[in-house]
Amino acid sequence: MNNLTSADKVIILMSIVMLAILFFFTWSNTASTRHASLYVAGEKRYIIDLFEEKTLSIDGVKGVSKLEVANGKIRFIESPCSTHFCIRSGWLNQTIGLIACLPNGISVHFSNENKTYDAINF
Amino acid sequence: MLLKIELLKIHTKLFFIIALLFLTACDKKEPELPVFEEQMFLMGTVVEVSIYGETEKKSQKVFHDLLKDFKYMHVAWSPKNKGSLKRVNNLLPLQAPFSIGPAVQDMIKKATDLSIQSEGLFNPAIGKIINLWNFSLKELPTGPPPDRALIEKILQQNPKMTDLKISPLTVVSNNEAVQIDLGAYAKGYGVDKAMEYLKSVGVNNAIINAGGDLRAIGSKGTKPWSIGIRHPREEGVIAGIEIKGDESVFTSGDYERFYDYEGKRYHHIIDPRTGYPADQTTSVTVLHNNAATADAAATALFIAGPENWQRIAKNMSIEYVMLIDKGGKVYVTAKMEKRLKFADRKSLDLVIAQ
Repeated sequence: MNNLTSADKVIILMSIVMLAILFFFTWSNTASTRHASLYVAGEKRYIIDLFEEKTLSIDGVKGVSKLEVANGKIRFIESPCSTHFCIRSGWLNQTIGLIACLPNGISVHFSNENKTYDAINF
Repeated sequence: MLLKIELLKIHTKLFFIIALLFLTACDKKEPELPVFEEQMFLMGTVVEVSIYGETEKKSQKVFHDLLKDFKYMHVAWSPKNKGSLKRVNNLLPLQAPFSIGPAVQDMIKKATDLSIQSEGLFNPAIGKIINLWNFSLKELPTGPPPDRALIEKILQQNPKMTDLKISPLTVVSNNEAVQIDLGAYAKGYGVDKAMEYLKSVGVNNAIINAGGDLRAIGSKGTKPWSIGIRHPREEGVIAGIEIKGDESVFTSGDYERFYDYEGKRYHHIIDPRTGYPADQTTSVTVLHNNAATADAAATALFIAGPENWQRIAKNMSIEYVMLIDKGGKVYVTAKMEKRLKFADRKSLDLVIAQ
């Protein structure tokens, strides 16, 4: 370390500052703008901020579905369908891509700027 | 002093080179244009349309045209709706020739060819058995499973696609048990028709994803379309795949439509030889340039199971397959293995078939 010139120190310092700036723009921006789109009967109704903790009650074609939003994720917690596949699907995340209650006509998917995959095959 | 100035110059150059590398990496991260995305509730599922490289106005128009087309196809091809297929099924038991429209005739002809190639494992003629199981589009049954005697009676009559004789304008059935259910084919056929329309109006970069089964054309600017294949038993994706040019990815899984009754799971992929759900496989993924073929092949290979899938794939000219058996073993063709990016390869019991 004693062999470092003042020029070396300046470069190391500038590199660290640059890394910090790049890290901020690359990661924090993605996290703070993460949204999901909610559709009812095929029509886009809401854009949901996934970092605002809340429980949503959405009127579907059959009744009211309840969805929980927390920590950048969203899931169905109540729905008037018989199978409850929507609830069993769990949290919408980067690799699930879409959660839906088909009988109630409600679906939620990530807005496209944040998707790991362009489509999910299942 | 001079040496120090020289060193400072070299270090400064180095700094800018490193800085430029960072900037290049940043630039490549984002696609050049936004992807237009819309979805519709049809054919018992969510159909998602993604279009790249077109104006918002054109994308909206194309989407609304597709919506009309899918609505028409849903009515025409579902055995439950009052459309062309329902009419065909009403007339088939008469065992007399009747007229048939060119669209349905084309579907039946192609489905018959695929049924023959699959050695009857893809068999749309077992509509009567499918009807007994009643995995209807919106609400699933809760059990009990259908009466075994009823299934056996239909199996004895051995309904198959080759019982249909198709002439240019008419069709006649030689077997009163034949009822057509295109559930394992119509979605793929519809996706192909929708994609033909997109190409005809000059859209060259798009994905049509009909409830998890999809066809993709072109790319997303400089990047290929990236598709995640869902794990049949765990949350998330088992592997990713990048699409080259024009390809369809279809998966048949036992987790898509099922019910549990008295501790046993009954799912929607019915083995035409037994009349019961095929029980050796949990999922099959097929990659092929034609969506209808991929749709039929995914069902046939699911039913063929780990013992016979390679023979059936060869018969159907399918080169890209991933099959996961009920024990969790993952079988892939060598060509498919080269295309897949497994999320956690080390954890898999992977068999590469030559």
